Amino acid sequence: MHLLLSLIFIPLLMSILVGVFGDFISKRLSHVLTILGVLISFICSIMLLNDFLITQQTQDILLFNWSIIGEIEFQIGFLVDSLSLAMASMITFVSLMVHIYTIGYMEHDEGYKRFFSYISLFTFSMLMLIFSNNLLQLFFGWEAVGLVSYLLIGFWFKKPSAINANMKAFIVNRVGDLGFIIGIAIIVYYTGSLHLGEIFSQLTSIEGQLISILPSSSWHAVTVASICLFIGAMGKSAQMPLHVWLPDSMEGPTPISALIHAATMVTAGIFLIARMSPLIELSSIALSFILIIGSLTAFFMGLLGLVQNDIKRVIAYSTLSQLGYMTAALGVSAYSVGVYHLITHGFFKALLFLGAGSVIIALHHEQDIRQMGGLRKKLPITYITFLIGTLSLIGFPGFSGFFSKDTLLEAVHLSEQGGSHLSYYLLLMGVLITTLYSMRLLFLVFYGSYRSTHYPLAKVHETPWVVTLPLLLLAIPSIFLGGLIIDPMIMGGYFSGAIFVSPENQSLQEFIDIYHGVIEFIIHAFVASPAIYLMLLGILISWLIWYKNYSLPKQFASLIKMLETVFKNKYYFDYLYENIFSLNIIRLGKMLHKWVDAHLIDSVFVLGSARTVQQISSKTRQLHTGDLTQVALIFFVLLVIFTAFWIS
Amino acid sequence: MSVNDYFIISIFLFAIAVAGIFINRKNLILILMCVELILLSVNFNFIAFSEIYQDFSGQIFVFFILTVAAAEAAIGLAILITLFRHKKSIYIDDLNELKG
Amino acid sequence: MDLFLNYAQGMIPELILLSGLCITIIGISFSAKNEHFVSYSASVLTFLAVVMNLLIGDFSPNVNLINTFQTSDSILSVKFIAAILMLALTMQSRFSLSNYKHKKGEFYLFLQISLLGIFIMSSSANLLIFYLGLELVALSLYTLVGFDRSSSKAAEASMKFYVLGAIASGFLLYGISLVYGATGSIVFSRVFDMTSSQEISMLMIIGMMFILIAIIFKFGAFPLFHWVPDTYEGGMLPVSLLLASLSKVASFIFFFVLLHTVFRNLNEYWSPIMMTLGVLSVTYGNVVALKQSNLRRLIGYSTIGHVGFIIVSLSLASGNGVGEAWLYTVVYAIMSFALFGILISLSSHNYDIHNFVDLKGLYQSSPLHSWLILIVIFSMAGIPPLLGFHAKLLILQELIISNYLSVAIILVIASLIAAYYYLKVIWFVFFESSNHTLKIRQSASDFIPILACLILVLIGIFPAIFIDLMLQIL
Repeated sequence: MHLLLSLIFIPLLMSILVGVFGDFISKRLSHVLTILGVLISFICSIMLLNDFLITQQTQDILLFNWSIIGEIEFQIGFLVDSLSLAMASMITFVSLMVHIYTIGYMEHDEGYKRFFSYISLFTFSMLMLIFSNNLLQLFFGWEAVGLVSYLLIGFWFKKPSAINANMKAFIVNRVGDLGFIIGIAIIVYYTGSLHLGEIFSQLTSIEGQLISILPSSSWHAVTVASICLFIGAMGKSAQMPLHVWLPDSMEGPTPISALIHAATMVTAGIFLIARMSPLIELSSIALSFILIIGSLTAFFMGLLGLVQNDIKRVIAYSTLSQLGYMTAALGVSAYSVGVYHLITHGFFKALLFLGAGSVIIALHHEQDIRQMGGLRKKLPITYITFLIGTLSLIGFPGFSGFFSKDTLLEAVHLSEQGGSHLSYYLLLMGVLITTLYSMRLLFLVFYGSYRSTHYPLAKVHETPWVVTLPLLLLAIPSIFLGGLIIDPMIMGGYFSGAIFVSPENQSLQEFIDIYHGVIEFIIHAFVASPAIYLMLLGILISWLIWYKNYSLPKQFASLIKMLETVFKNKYYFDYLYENIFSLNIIRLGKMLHKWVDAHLIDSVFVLGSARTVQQISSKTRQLHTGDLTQVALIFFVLLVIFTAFWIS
Repeated sequence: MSVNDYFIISIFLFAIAVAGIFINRKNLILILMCVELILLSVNFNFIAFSEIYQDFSGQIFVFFILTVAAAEAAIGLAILITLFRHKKSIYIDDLNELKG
Repeated sequence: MDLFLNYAQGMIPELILLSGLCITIIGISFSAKNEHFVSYSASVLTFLAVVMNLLIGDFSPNVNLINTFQTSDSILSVKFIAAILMLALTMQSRFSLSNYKHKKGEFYLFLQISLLGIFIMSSSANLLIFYLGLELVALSLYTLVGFDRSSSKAAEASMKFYVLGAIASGFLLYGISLVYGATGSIVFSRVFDMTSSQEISMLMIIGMMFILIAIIFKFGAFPLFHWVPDTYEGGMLPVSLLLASLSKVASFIFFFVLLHTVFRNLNEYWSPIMMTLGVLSVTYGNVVALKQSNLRRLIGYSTIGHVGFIIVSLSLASGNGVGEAWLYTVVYAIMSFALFGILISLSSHNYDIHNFVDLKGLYQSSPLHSWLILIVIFSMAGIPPLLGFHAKLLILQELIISNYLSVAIILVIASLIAAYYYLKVIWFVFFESSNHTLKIRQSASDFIPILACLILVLIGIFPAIFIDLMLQIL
């Protein structure tokens, strides 16, 4: 209990301390305080995880009843189980690394202390989200991480592009949140509770209920609720078509790209679906929907990564694509695999972002990869760690990402869910694409010759230790973690207490049955799955194109050129949103504003009522004339009225 | 006179006090006197009912009312003096600073 | 003698208060130079002694001294809270009084007398004792309102308050005399028995109507509210604080003791009347507050609105309305301590606040005070998760449970109107800039407002224990 509370609340405490007393304390003290807070938090989460592994006991802790309205209790409580503890350990570790890294990255920034305060606050909100035992608190955490994320995307609020990105993130997330709120409302309506445990025990009351959305068609309440929740998850986890905010959010400082937009906040959607697995399992339509959205995102967003020239944006599209993989895993009921990939991805993607940030610092805030090249010698530590991250991302055998991605592919392959065949092939092609963009990035940044003209190579130095230390510490789990935890987490039923999979969706079980240890797994991958060959093919192609500069045949090149325009315009999503939705919505909005708002509501209802009340107010005010005898008269008038009232 | 007559006198006193308070509209001292008149009517009541019920608590009450009324009058006159120092008047119409 | 000692045990807080009173009088008369300090320290010590006694004293519960004086656990809890509030009030008053030129030692004397009055009211077992307690509170309040002898507004407010108060106590007495005439007794329990056993006489009902009017006046509820804005404007800040906090506690006791214990069986007569007047108070107070330019009058009218909530909740004869009204009273007292505490603290820097305009640009001069004002105002407006929100919510919930949905809706609408002028205060504090920035330093006078705001925030976030505690008292 005490461990849990300190795990969650110490980052908040530190954030408040640094935020409120920022003016009175030195820069040094501000980062020492926040790092200490997150360190304590990390240690606590490891201790709790250890306790859990020994006792295998899920704890549902009620901190206090905040309020009761009607029959529904609003509680603050924590659910400590396998899922939340696994997430917490990853989050606190990555957060710790990012905190340390920030010392180097934000060194000369004016908002140094503010930044530390924000990321500690973020850590707290994220922990609130994952540990909550009820939907209300989960929603609180959900909004709080969103809020901090907007604050941080717009951290450099003097940059107009940062403000635009901020707005975009805000608006797109509102769409998602709307879905989430409706989902919660449906669940509360049918089960009468916000508490997760009670909801899951009441599921029979929601199963079989119908909701008619349009007059002619009625849907199962479970399906509607699940899809609404997933729409919420789509907003936060940037699934197509609500993905547009994530690449733009790269306007924020790199540490938060690593922490929020790669490792933690964007995975909140995945977490939500995994957490609600008993509900989602009841609807195969929702599962198919999730699967299709996930695999489409995985494939198409990966392609976009191929044409980006901003180092952070390449990684951002890669994040989108990887989130698609996780979502696809959820769609085939392999929740544990989704979370497994989420955790391994959290480490190596944070590593890649921080590595990119290290390059950016070394080149004095240059982000264009056309201005880089040949940095292998100058930045050895960054290079090695970046290479490890890349190999893990593309699923090179033996690396962390290999295990999670291969298990994921197998789970989709073996699934019988509607649309799983299409998804399997999309995801397989995704492996090739992942390799292509990752290796392209690696080759263009670290190999070849240095191409920048305005920042001489001689001035490029390896970044300070506060930057490289987190890289090294993150590289270790990026190599080993996947192989280490696959046994307990996927095969050993670690998640059995937190995640529910219905008997007809046990696709993963077949795979578990043929599993015989890590080495066999690697060998099996070579024999049974085309993924590994696609990956090797990808390495070969990218080596030819971007390292050897082997020029392509003419016809092929023109085809590529055509595709490139499509990719560069990001499938015209932004165009679509801006020109069709935004413009018309703005037009509609203006019209509504003019007629409904300005004329009807403002002048009649709001101003009208406000004016009336004010008029009444000034009139009644004059009743108080200050005349003593008038007031004295009221005594007797009252007496008469009371008596009359009683007699009548 | 029967006990009932005392009760009727009390009602009359009360009515006179009430009338005095809001018909007069001029002098604060008069209002203070009318308030005393209300208390007097209350005392009449207590005495009368005490007689009916042959219960002495009504009479004790009267004694306490007399004491409290004295204290109340003292405070009232003290306030009146401060008021007079500021306004140089004890007319109700001059109590016109606080309103609205 | 043994018997007397046995009874006297229940009276120890009152006896301490009384001896403290005597010591203070003697102290003031023998120290001409530093009578302020002597009186202040004597009062603080007295109140501390009372609080400690109530906290750790050994009381045999349910003493009943020949139908005059009684104690019980809930009465002791009420006294305890009143004593703590009075202690805080005394401590905060000092900062305001040190700006005041005339003799000021008596101020604390009257505070002690009014606390004694509240104690006697809450422990009374018959109408005579109750009346005496009530008069003790009322007489000291008249004096305190006019305490600032240099101000003509204070004299006027005090005179008006006095005249109306005297008429109100005349009404109360007339009502009591009629009740005595109907039942032949002034003892609570016997009057109660008469209302339950016999057919209810007309004398009794009319007597009760007289008493109702007195209660309405003491609360400052709808038709008899005029003294509230007047005294707030004319009196000194600590006096307004006293009227907003402890005087409301006294009125609460008045209502509770007479209507809920003595006339409980007659609730079909008084409940609808009080409910109507409560609703009217909320509406009237908040509507009229809208157009006030004087900040203190505005607070006065908003008090009328809050009092309406208390009265509505008290009028619920069934359910837990009384407990929720008590909670609201205490919460309102805490909010007043925060609000008036801030004003006192600001005024002690020679920055006298009467109008809205005086708050202009406060944020530039003193962010701390501005944030404190924000917390209090939000709490008064009932914005979650502050304590004021819970207090309002519980009452609304109780109303809905008791099938008074329309009343609940009116209260919500009135609160929305209130939000408008509350936000106006915030607007002046934060967004209007003034040409001159004042040097406002933090001093010891900020302690109580900060404490009150902390209570508002912290208990607002963790309300369950506090609410249970308050609801259990009554």
